[in-house]
This record gives sequence, structure tokens and C-alpha cells, in this order.
Amino acid sequence: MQKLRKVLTVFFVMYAIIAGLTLPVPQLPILEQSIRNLYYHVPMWFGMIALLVGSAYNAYQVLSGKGLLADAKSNIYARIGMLYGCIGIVTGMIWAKNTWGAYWVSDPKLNSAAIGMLMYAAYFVLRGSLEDDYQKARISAIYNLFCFPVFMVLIFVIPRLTDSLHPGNGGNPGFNQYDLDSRLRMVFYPAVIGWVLLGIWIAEISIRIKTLEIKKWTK
Amino acid sequence: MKNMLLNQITKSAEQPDLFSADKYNVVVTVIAILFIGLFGYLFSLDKKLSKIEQKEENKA
Repeated sequence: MQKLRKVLTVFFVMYAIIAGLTLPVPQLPILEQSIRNLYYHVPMWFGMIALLVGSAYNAYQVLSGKGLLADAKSNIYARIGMLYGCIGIVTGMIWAKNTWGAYWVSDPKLNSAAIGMLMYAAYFVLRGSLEDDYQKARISAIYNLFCFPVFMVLIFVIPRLTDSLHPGNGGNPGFNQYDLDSRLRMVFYPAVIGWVLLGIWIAEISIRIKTLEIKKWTK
Repeated sequence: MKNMLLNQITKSAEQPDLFSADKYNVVVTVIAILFIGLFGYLFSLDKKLSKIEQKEENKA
């Protein structure tokens, strides 16, 4: 089952790269060929959210008494989630430059995402500032459980309440309403699955390394 | 608004076809090779970790 999941990850990500860059896309004004970024920018946010859910779940496990291993898992999921977030921001900036004319515009979704990511940056600073492992685990778990719902509100709720350039926000039509035709769907859905699975795979490897380290320390 | 859209359409029509340039295929190939390398690295890490985990289990 594990092996099948890894093979599927390779297949979907390679498909997203090769088919995403070569298959024909709808010719939309302004978006033009930049619409291909849909296969890379959007799945990064899906992946980030999936990983942050894993982080928050493990933070809850820490508070339920599951110990340092759950804390390590929570930390690793948050790290890989933030890596995905950074890639999402960079791919979004490139897309914004080509469609909106600037790398960063004063858009509620962009600003909310930046605030949310800074909150997670504070999570890592908080972890780094604490010496005692058990104290670090408990305090960062509490902060993580506070951070996650606030981040979700910041990126899903606030942009929908005000005017936004982002599709699907602030009265703007979403991609799926008009533009996400079958040609895009054929690559977009496998791309989402592939990138999410890749993030989980990387996180799992890091967790296995950390588990071995913890076992070595406790011997 | 109408002029802006017309300008965009004219601009895109003037640009050379993306797929006619050989460089585009080279870019796709290089990206694909980079990711194959990444997957190779992940599989090798996976294998090494499995070996170490097996060793640890046998010790216990």
C-alpha cells in the first residue's frame, strides 16, 4: 500500500509536470499561457493545508499525552507545510507579475496568506526559544492549535468578505465556474493529488529520521 | 475595456508559438530530469531508512 502510494505520487507529479507544460490550454485573454500555473500554484496551497491539518492533529495528540514523537511530527508537518506555502507564494508572485502587472498587490488573499505564514514563522521562533523539550512540546502545541484556525479564517473567510483580485473571492468568479474546462481538469486534479502526496511522503521520511533519533537518545 | 482586450489578443497573436521553439522542450525535459532525481533521492532515503529500522528492530 505504501509502495503503491509512492508510485502514484511519482506518476501524478510527473504527469503534472509533463502534461501540465505541454498539453493545450484554453486561450484566455490576459491569462494566456500563464494559466498553466494553476497546476503548480493552487496544489501547493492544497498541500500546505493538508500538511497543516497533520500538524494541528499532532499538536492535539501532544496535549492528549502522546509525548515527544507527536511533537516532532507536528513540527515536521508544519515545516513541510510552510515550505509548500513559500513555493505557493513564489509561484503566485510570478503569476501575479504576468497577469496583474506586479509581484505583490494589495489583495486581501495575498496579505492574509503572508500574515498566516508569519504566524507559523513565529511558531518556529517560539520552538527555538524554549530549552526544555516537554515545555517546548506543550507550549508550541497550544500555539499551533491557536494558529491553525486563525490561518484558515485568514485565507478562506476574510478574502471572501472584501473585494479581491483572486478568482473565487470578493465576488470574482472562481476558475471552476467559467474557465476550468475539461482540458484543465484533466491535469489539475491529478496535480493536486500528486503534490499533496509528495508533501506527505517528504514529511514521512523526516518523521522516520526523527523517530530513529529519538530512539537513539532515549537508549 | 474593449480596446484592452483587443490589444491583448493582438499581442498574443504577434508572439511566436510557444511550442515551435525547441528551447521549450529543453526546459520541460530539464525540469522532468530534476524531479526524477528528486524521486530517486527519496526512494534511496526510503530504502536506507527501512534498512536502519530493520536493524533496530532486530537489536530489540
